[in-house]
Order: sequence, then structure tokens, then C-alpha cells
Amino acid sequence: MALEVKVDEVNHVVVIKLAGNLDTNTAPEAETAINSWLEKDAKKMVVDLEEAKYVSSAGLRVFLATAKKMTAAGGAVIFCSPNEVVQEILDISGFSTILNIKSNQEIALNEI
Amino acid sequence: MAIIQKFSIAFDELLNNIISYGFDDEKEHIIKVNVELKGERLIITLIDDGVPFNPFKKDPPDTMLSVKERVIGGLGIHIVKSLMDEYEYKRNVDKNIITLVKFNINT
Repeated sequence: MALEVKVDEVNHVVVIKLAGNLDTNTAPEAETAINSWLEKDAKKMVVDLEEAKYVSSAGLRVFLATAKKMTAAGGAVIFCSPNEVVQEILDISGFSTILNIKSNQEIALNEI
Repeated sequence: MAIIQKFSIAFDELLNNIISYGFDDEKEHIIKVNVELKGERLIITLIDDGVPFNPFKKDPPDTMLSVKERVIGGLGIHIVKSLMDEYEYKRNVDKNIITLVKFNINT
């Protein structure tokens, strides 16, 4: 099943919306899109999961790598709007305490 | 429905595990997936003819994996164990059989 990556820039914040399924097949696509912005030296990023139906460990790996790269670059990434299943995966994996996760985009944009 | 997403995640973790570690030759292999509904229990069975490989065991099959690979691999299995109500691995002659069960899928 597919993943669509939509990118927007809101007040110098790169908002990357991941729509669909984030799994072994589609994680590389998300990673490529995110990396292209990291290479452009983006310091503020919001990864919007509102339309993400589910995330497997492959997706979590991309989230973790993104957070680490951002931290190393002196920037910040906030994840927002996880649905019930995605939130459960984030909780099960312990990533809800490692990553910065907000319930909606507005809160994320305000904090970053 | 959350059940579909949860099984999709379990499939992603387990099938990719089997594909990555289950076979030691270049031949074509088939992984069978059975889906059975018994009342309110959804039972999914994965059957492959690869090397004996229990993904639910604590140690990964290949100790040459990097620490990072082992951590993320362990994470996927941990997720499967948490999402499913029951999970089991059996070896039957030349087959690996993984059974996953979710109860009360209609509630």
C-alpha cells in the first residue's frame, strides 16, 4: 500500500505530511523526502502523521534517524497528530518518550 | 478498523523478518498466509519452508548483525508481541509455523 509525502513550508518550518502507510516498503520514500530537507539545512521540521494509517518499526527507524540528525544539526523536529494505532505503536516502542510528539499541527508549530 | 492496521504492522515485521533471515539459498520460496475467523477470534498463520527460525526468541539468528540492526529488529518483534493477543512459533518437520491470534475482533 502506498505512501504520499506532502511538503509545505509554514513560517520557515518544513511541514512534512505522511499520508498512507509507513512500513518497510514505503519508509525509504519518507526518509528520502525528509533527508532532502535536512540537506537543505532545515532546522525546524514538523512531521504530520494525521493521515498516516499505521507505522511499523521501519517507520520508527526513520523517525529516530530524523530526530538524531536534527539534534546533531542543532535543529528540532516535532511529530504531530498520530492516530490511535500510530500512538499505540509509539507507546509500545517507547518512542513516545524519546520523540517530541504533539496532538495536532498547530501545537507543534507553536512550540517549534 | 484498527485490527486491519495491527495485522498489517505484524505482517510487515514478521514477513520481512522471514524474508531477511529465513532462507539460505537463492531459490524461490513461498510463504503461505492463512486467515481464519473462529467466532470472535481472528487467527493468522504464516508458514514458510526456510531454515528453522523462531522470530520470537530473544536472540536474533545472526550475531553478526550490528547493534543498531539488532535493536530495531527486536523492536519489531516486541511490537508484534504487544499487538497480538496470542503468538506462537512451531517447527513442523521442514516448516516454520507462526500463529497470531486476536480475540474479540468485533468489539
